[in-house]
Amino acid sequence: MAQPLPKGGAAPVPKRVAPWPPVLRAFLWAGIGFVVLAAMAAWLDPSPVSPYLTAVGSVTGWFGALIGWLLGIGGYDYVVRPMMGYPTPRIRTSGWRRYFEYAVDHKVIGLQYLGASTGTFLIAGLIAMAMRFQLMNYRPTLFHYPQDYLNAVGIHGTLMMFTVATVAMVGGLGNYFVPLMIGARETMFPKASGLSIWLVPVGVLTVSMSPLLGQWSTGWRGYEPLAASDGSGLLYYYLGVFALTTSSLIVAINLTSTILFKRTKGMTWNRLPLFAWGILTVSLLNIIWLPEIQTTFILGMMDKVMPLNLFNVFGQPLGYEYLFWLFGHPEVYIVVIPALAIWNEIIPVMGRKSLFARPIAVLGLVFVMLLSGMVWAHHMFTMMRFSEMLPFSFFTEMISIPTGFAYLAVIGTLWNSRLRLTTPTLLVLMSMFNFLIGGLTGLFLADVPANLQLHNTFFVVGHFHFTIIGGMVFSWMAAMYYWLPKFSGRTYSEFWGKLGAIWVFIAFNATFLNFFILGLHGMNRWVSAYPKYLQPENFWTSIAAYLLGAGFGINIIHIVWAWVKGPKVKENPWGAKTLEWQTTSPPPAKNFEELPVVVGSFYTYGKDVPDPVMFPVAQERAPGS
Amino acid sequence: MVVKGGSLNEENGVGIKHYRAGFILFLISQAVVFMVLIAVRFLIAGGKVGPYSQPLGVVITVVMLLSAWLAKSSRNAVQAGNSEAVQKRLASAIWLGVLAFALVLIMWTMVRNDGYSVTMPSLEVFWVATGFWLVYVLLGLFVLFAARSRGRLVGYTPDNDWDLEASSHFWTFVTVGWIALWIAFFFL
Repeated sequence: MAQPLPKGGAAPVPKRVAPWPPVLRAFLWAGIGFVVLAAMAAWLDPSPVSPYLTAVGSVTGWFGALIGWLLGIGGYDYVVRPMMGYPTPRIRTSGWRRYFEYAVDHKVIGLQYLGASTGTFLIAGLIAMAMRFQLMNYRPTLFHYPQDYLNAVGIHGTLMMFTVATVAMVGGLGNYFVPLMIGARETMFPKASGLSIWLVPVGVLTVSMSPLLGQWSTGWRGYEPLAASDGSGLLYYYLGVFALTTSSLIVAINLTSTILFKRTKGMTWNRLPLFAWGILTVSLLNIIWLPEIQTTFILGMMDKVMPLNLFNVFGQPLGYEYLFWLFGHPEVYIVVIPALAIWNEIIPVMGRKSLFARPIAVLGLVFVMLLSGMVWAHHMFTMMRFSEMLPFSFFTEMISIPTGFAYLAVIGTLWNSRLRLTTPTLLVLMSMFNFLIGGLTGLFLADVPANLQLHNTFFVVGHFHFTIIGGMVFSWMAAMYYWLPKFSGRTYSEFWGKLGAIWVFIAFNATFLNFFILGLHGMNRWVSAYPKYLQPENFWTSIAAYLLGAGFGINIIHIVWAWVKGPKVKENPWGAKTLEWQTTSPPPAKNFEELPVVVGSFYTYGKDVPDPVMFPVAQERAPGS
Repeated sequence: MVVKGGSLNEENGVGIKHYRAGFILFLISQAVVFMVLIAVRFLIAGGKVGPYSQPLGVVITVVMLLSAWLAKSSRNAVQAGNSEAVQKRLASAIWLGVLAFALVLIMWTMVRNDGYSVTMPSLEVFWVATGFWLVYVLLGLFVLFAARSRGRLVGYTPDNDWDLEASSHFWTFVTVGWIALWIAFFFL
């Protein structure tokens, strides 16, 4: 890859800095940053009971560690010094080490995000297994105190929401594929993007280690006034989420700017790939709502470390809930919109049929985005006046209409198509089924009388797992199988791919359909001990959950094996038309030898349909042209 | 090199105006922070104006406006080819920013010395909102400092002053953020 373009005339030096691994330097600088700022806090605000590390010190120290980490990983050499006019050192552009260093290549960054998301998915999954082990028995077994269990639930939910669901499709697949799909050589702000990924390990470590400072029981929501009675570990929940959401915010600004301004010639809005549309709409949601929740969480954190009464019982606890769900429900669509886009990306290719009602599919994504900010209060029906519930109930039911547009486009495309039932196809169809179950059960929860009965039961847990795991994670897997030949130039085994897909589909439904029944039978959320009559059902649900965990493991191992050792495959094995398939696999450093020109739709199939992509210079040079 | 009216990557036709637009997206995201702070101010304290110093509020506003104007006018000095003036104006903008920072701390101290309770609702939201703003001031001072350092080491030309422009835009944003808080906390 060519060196990053110098700014302001500063010539790059032909030598790399950091004679030792940047990750080690980052750890060292983070440690120094923590000690310095924590000591400063102890000096300015001494505590007679804790002379070395106070609650304030642990927060300021964390910020010191964050700054030290980012500077150490490459921010000092590649961002801060060049910003001040010093030359930019060379960035490693080949070899495996580049994946563990600061990078500006969007493909490297995309893979770093995918690695971080997958690793966190495994951690969160193991925690889920532990939770299900606890719930196999109606009495406490693994978690001896309710707080232990609740803390595990909180870490599981936080990691899944902020590191897997929000990050894998946007930070991972979005960073890797959006520039390729729109015909760009790089993203708009590669330097910021190179730093953003390194916020993820900080966030994951902070949240995972938070119980060391004291348990917290509020789940992924940090609910007030419950939070007021939690231990100091909650501070690191807020801070971990701050790091993770900052990472996603940088991704959102970078990818939005890239889609707006770096499209190649002929890439009009009418021709923009569906996945790029999905990333654009999600990024706009992220740009608005992530700063909102960050501010709310920082306020919640200040409430705990300072003598304030913002959201505790003396202040406005409901105010916190309002502010949380203002973000919390759009978050669901932040997670799901890329999945809806992936369906419409894969099905026309596998069906060799033109995408049905493309404008409707795009409008569906846009209207889901617009309506997502108007439904949040349905999470709070138990705390509201009836008169306030109606509009939120109405809009919650309304949002199923644009969501249905995505289904409409896929079903119309499937109609009379000669569908190739490959692993990605299978996973898309499974994702559609799962999300349909999630959506239909969501209608019950949008309905006030049903909601008031089902609130805080396992029915709700089943509902959101069907939308997020069933919808998003299945689509993520479909995308990984679909784009595997592009990532690696290799392909997977259809047998193992289909076996893995069917395995997780059956295990997933066996697990989470049971959640609905458990909920209707009276199983509450947030409890590690429950009435004895629910034990048999919980037992079998846990067995299904273990099978689901094993199924995900099989798929991950299979994908990694195929990536490294799978049979080599010809370029564009699916015969797809979008631009990422018009370059070599894996793509070269600057993506394309010559930037493509788009002259038609990527989703139109049939006889005599001209190729939608041109390479004018190459075609001019070609013999006989 | 990013050049005015030109592009970083001619193939994609990306120019300075696109970087500016991308930067504005960042500023829009940060404007949400101030919106939340103002919303929380009314949620917690209603319309009550706290016992913070009104005259100091005016002084901070004037100081920030002057500082933002100096940062912005440093770009005019680039157009005029006067690099010495760029350095001086940026230095003045930085020092005025430091003064505004100090004045907020003085205002905090004055309120405490007047014996008001920390947990008085109108004061709670005042502490947190101005505390947030001080963090933005620190970031703004750093980018102004970096822009000044870059001007000294590399220099700006009329066609290549994006780093200075971005720093100046961010500092203007910090100033507008103060004005929004000032209106919400001192008047409404």
